[in-house]
Amino acid sequence: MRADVLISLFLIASCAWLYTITAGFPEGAETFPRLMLISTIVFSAAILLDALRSGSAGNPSRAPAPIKAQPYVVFGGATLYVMAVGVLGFFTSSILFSAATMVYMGVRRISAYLVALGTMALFYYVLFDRFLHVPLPRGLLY
Amino acid sequence: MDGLFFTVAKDLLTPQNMLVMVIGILAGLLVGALPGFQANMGVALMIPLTYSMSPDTGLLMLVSLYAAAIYGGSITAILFHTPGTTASAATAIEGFALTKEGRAGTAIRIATWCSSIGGLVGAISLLLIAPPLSLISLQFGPPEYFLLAVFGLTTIASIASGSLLLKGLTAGAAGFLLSTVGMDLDSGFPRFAMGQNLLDGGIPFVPAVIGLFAMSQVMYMVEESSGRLGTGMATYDKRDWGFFLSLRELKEVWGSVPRSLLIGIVIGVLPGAGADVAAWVSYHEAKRFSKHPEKFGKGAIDGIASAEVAKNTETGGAMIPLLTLGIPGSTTAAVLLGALIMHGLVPGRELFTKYAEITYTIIVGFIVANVLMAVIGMAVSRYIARMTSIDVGILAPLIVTLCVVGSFALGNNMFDVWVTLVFGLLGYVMRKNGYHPAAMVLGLILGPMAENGFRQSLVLAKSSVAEYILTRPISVALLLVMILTLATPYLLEYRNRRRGLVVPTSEQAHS
Repeated sequence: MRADVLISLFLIASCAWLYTITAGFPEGAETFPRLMLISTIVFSAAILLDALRSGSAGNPSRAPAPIKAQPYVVFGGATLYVMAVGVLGFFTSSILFSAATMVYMGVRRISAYLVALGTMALFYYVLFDRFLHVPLPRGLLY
Repeated sequence: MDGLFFTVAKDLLTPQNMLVMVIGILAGLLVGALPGFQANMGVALMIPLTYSMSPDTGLLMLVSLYAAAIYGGSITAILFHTPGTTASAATAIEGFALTKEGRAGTAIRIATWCSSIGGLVGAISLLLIAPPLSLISLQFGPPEYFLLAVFGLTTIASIASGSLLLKGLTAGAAGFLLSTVGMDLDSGFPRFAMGQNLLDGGIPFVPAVIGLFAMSQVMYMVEESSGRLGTGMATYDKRDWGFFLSLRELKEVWGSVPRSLLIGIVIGVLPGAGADVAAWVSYHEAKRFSKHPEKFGKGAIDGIASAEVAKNTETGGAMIPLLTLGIPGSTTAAVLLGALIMHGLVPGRELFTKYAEITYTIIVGFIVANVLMAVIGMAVSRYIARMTSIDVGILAPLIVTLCVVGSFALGNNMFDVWVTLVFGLLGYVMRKNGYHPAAMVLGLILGPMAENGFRQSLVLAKSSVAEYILTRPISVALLLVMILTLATPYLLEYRNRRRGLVVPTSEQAHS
């Protein structure tokens, strides 16, 4: 319920701000975005009202679930990985990211690391580098 | 016509096209078998690989994956009682009961051939129904195209019901809004680009789709699962593992096949109801008409057959409105719509005239894929099932790297990778809070068509747009169908409640 309220408020505020930006658009270019902004505001307001109504009714089944950190840690790792691609190169950073995530996720067997990382590097090299000729970013190491 | 037939046959039967179909089927089987993975994610991840291929080759790979992924969910449903996709939940009941009796081979055999029969009939229906239906699109003007785009969106939004329907519509409107980012084609003005030149070209939808479906799925998987995806290895009697159906099995399931085919096609063409609804309705109808309803829940093979036939027939049915009108019947069809547009193919009459060779190659390829799927499925299902024992800790980083390399390969730039990452987080947050990434994807894809139709309607309407729309019969018909589509989930829910059916309402349901 709380998440619905926060998301709805965020969407309404964002859409209101974007609406002010459309004032600078040439005639005709602003019509469709405004229609969609108003639609989003109306739908969000309806969700907000619904959330507030069910919240005031004290519905116990809609208690917020605890937020788990793991998905966000993996996402943070992925962000660092994408940043590192330009510096270390695609292959090196992919292997480092995958190995670090496997450690974080509790993979213990050394053979799993060797097989997974080796297969991954070989697959990307053969398919994307050799076969599809994708210029995968090269970096300090490879 | 004969010339077209031979051209299609020649195009389809090249070693390259046959190879990509086999790859698509293997990938689809794997995606379908892995619990939590959906066909839409598989298609989204595979799109970048098709970028450098010719449209027919690329799309053959994707439709083969689609067919196989819908079937693949049944393998783990039967062996581990863990449906790979929600569409296989009905199969899990009867299939796992057979597995416990040591008859996993029988269950897999029934599921495989019945899926193939369903897929085959669905694909043939697509071949027969889509070309004449596409003539309707010739009657369309700007208001109809605008309404068609909105209709497409309501089909996806209507996947959910209650407050989730509003969330689906919100996500769709946000998708339409995101499609306006970048250079306005009429005035050349960069809208919502915030001074960033990279955004002048708009938000690239394939990286966005990869983020919304695949990247967000990884985050979901990391949160939901610990350890292995599957629940272990089923034991089975090797003597039970025959390749073809026996005459006795065929006689036992044959009664429910025609009914399930009909249910699959009707539900497939209907927007907003997907493979899971087709499977459940068919399963319950089979139980209702069965001479031995007491066997249901204890390993009734006609129960497996009815669910499998209907869910795979639905895939062909869902592609009828997709190819003719651009309305996807499922979330996977929405991703396929993006792939069609990426390859320069716009749904409508032109697909069956100007691009007839490509379109018919894809449709006939879809028919062949459903046959190949059965042969490959029977050959590899045991090994595919073993893949579910892969640790999430291994699979998650591999999929992230696949998202990165896939989105980079599209335009050879890191901007696309960042788009994937941002939309991955957005997709995860949306899914956690009941908003449909599929609706946003469709908004992004159909946005330009909706805006063009809307702006041209404004110019054509002398006074009020609403008045103008209401004077056009096709527009009025589209509005009525839209209302019906939005009401359908409520009506189905009401009907199922009255009949005591339980249909899963997962946001992943419409794979």
